[in-house]
Amino acid sequence: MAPYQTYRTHNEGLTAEGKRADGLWAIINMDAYLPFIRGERAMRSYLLTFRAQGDQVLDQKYREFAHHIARLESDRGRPWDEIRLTIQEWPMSPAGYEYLRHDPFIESTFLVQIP
Amino acid sequence: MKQKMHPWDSFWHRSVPPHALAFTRIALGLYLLVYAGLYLPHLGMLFSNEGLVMPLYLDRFPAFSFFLSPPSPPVVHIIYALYMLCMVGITLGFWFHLSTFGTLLGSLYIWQLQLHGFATSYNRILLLCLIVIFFSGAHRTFSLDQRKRSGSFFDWEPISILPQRLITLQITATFLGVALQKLWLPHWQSGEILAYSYISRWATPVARWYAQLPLTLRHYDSVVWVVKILEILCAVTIWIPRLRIVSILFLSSFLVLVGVMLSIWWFVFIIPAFVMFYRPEDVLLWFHKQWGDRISKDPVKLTK
Repeated sequence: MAPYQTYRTHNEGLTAEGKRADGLWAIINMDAYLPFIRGERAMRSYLLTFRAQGDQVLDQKYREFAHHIARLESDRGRPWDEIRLTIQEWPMSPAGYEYLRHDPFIESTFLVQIP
Repeated sequence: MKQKMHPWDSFWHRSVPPHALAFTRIALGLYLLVYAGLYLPHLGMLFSNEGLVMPLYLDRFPAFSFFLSPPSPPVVHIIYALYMLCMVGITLGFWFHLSTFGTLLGSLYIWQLQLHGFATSYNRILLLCLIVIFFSGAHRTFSLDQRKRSGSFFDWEPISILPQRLITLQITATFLGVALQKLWLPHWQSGEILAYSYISRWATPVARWYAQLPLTLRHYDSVVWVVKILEILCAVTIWIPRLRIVSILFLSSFLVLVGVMLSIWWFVFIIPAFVMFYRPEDVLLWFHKQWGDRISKDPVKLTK
């Protein structure tokens, strides 16, 4: 099938958060780990080729993804006690892709948490 | 019976000048170099065991982990250098078969490592084109192989038209398929898909500017219907000599606009391949007219 079969009326993006020593969660900047244009990065974050193999494989692959992030962050001197992945959703705006990516517009769907 | 068979054979199997296919080969090689070159600053992250790599087949075939696991960064750089060298070979028509095979192999390798995560139709069309041109004789002119063979980069030898037909039919099928699915897919029944796409994750600044114009949904509806109708029409009319140039202009504009508005630029490799919809004999005459006697109207005679 060809591309662009459907569309969304909201934005969504894979988000990684790390738990700091003081117990607070902080967003991990994944720009260096996913060096793609925005659309490609979003498509890749669905792990479509693994998603097609079922929920169990998908869950396992998101965990693997989180472990990769943990390793890459640790290599850069940013060890996190825990890492969790979520899908964030927020409304679209002609003003910009992330224009409304803030409270109270964001809704998060939990994916996985390690360890 | 014989008269009926002739057009069929002529369409599929006649010997033709290789210039249209050679031009496409050069454009494809340059495109692949740009496409692969964009990943150069991030090779370690994208393809090595020190990056974020989740190979497609490693879990299913652990016995082949030596080949399926991401290699170390230095090995990635060596493999990628060879991969891009093969693309240079395609562009220059140098060790053409080896270069095309190397590019094909490299593409499949990085597909299973990383590209599968963005499993797109253009990557599949590119693989098909590489397989077809491997057997095509696309290096029978405008190539260093031809210079080695007959003494001039511009000499040419006839090739079968079949590979050219296969690629042009694939292009036709792509546009027809894309347009026909728009006719029945629920989300393509109004212009909303376009309006939302222009403020989506794919949108470029140009698209966002366009989305801010005071245009109604009826405008987007109209654009979607024009695209649906013209995509189908042009996929057919590109085969009709009198309508070919108009069809190519529309389809090229469409592909460029998809890149400019939605940052989906990868399909532009199809544009140079439109030359293959022209009769190869006419393409030769065009090159002869532009470049004079440097490009002979007759094939080179090789003496063994």
